[in-house]
Amino acid sequence: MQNIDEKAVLKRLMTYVVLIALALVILAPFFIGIWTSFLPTMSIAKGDLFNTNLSLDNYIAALTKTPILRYLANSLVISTITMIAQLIFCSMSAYAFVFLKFKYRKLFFALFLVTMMLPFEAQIIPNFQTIKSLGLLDNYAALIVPFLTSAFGTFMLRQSFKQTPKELKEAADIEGLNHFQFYSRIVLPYNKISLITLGAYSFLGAWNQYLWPMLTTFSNNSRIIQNGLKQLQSEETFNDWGMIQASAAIIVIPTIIVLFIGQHYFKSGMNEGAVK
Amino acid sequence: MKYTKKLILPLVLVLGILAVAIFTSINAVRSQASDKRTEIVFWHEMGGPSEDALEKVVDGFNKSQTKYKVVPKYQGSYDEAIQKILQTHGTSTSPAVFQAFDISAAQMIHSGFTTPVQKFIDQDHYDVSKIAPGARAFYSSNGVQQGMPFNTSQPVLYYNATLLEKYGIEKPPVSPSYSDITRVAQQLYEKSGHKTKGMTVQVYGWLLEQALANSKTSLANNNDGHTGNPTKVDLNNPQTVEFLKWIRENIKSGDFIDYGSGASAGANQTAGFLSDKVGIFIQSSASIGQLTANNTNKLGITYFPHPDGQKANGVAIGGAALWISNDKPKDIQKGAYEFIKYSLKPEVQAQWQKDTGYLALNKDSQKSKILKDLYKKSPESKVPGQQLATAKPNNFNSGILMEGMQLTRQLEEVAMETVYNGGDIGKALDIADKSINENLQTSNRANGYK
Repeated sequence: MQNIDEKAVLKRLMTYVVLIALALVILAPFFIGIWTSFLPTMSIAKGDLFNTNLSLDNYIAALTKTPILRYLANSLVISTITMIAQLIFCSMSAYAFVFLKFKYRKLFFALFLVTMMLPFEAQIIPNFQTIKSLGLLDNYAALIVPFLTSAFGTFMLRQSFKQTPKELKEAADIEGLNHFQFYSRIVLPYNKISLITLGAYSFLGAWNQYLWPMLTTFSNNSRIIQNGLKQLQSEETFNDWGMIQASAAIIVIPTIIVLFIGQHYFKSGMNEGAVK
Repeated sequence: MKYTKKLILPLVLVLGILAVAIFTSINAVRSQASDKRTEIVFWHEMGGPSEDALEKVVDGFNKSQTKYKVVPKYQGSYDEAIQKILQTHGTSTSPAVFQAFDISAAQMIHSGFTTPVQKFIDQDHYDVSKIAPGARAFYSSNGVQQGMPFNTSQPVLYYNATLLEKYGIEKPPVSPSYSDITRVAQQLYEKSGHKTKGMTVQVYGWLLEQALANSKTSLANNNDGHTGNPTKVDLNNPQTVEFLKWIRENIKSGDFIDYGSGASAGANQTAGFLSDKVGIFIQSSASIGQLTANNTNKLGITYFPHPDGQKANGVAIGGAALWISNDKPKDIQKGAYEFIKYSLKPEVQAQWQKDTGYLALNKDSQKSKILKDLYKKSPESKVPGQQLATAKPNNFNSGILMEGMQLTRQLEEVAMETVYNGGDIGKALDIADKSINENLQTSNRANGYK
């Protein structure tokens, strides 16, 4: 008996050692980043990281001297709208692909998937021309309209909707629910977890965009946070690394909040399923 | 009833987006209407502290007159901005005046999207002789001033003067030869007990091109593109070989440290220099701010090194120029020119040098109190400006007017990296030559140049 226990303990111990080592490797850059955001720029430039000369000066400089708050607000608006729009449009199209019977359904779905095969970078030129001729350059709309829906979201929700038991649909038909009622009262609540996952995914996707906003926005009024971070760096001259690092730390905060909320719901969703 | 409720959300959303779109454009129209001045949209790539300095220049211009109002807009890195400028030309969002970096000069001239500044200089009878000729020459082709140099830097050699004093090493002359630098680097490495490496040269195509300029050699034919579009590049020449041999010699004696290529190499090499890990490095004069702020060591600066037994020909400038777009009405273009003219005033340039580390281009700036005070505080900051002033511009040291310089530099860097890692110099340069020429021919064919 004892032997088996020892083995189990050893195994568990080894697992933890490996996990801790991996966690350190992954988290180290993050913590070094946070640490340097409290250091004066000269220490960073010298590579002198083990320094106890810590202060909040960098954060104060980032918040007062740069328009970073405006960029944060821009990003927040754009990411939220993109997320809500993707949830609505993707869930509706996924519903159509799963529960509606129409001609060429498979063909249309295949067409949807084809758009996933092309990376966004390859579509930048036609997209840019479209936005340009619509006169939407340097505007929130340029950052939102191309991302109102996504093939990936439709694909993901379709797979999830397919898991909805057929009995529910049959019961709904007997109850006399129409499609919208079935969609909003049964399919959406039933697939809550997938919706939250897609929501978090699309929010972070919009939040972390760089290339597209860089190309389509020209002024501080519509600039989003990732481009704002680049703006804090100069081309050849003096860089205030401490302040740049502090800004990067500020930018990460909303992402962490989204992940935290997403995880919380994810867990409660799992529990609900288990109780039923 | 139920489904109208469900329809409302997407509808509200779409309307919301439209509202945002409309409101922002109305606001833009309003701000234009309320201000009677002609708006001059100015695109630039100055981020960080230099953006503040640039805004000072713009504010100064806006206060100095009542006809025009310059609106500065940051556009990202130099490379990204070029694409935006070319792609938005002719739309309402395009800029009236923009900043484009040195190696895009040929692309800008060939695009046909700009009005040469020369046109306004002639109309205005503006005396350009006050503006540094070396900087002007870079942005002119066949004697026509295409863009006007603005933020301008020079590659210079930095050394740690405190360390040299500490070990009793004679400092290098103001215009050192390759062997002068080798001597200092080797002495520093030996006398510090191998604690401090003597020198580094970043794997950076710009530096290789400067070595050629300084030894009076063209990289591309047609006088580096100044008298016609280049059709052939010759990198494998005796001067490049000598430059690389010099580096190889220092690598062999152990006093050389290789920081690699790219932006991180630049940052690492600065960090190494500030923490006494390396004594000598070559970098843009615009880095001076980073090297003097809170640096406890004394900084020494010399000109870019030149081959032994030859006089330095002078190096080309780096940085960027201001260009005027030709898709805007005449009065806006005139306003853009007025802004450029203002930005070159002696006192504006002097303040600009003090704030950023870029060089003051107006000769009269040197007489200003701002720069005199600066030189009193740190005499070494005078050196880059002197290097620019003493070099007589010729077709070798006025930059390379060739398209596709970004790719060319990458290939040059591959060759440098090969040599640093012990590869054969001639072979590495031959490979680079072949690839660069192939790209050049493809690009010339695609653009329909002969």
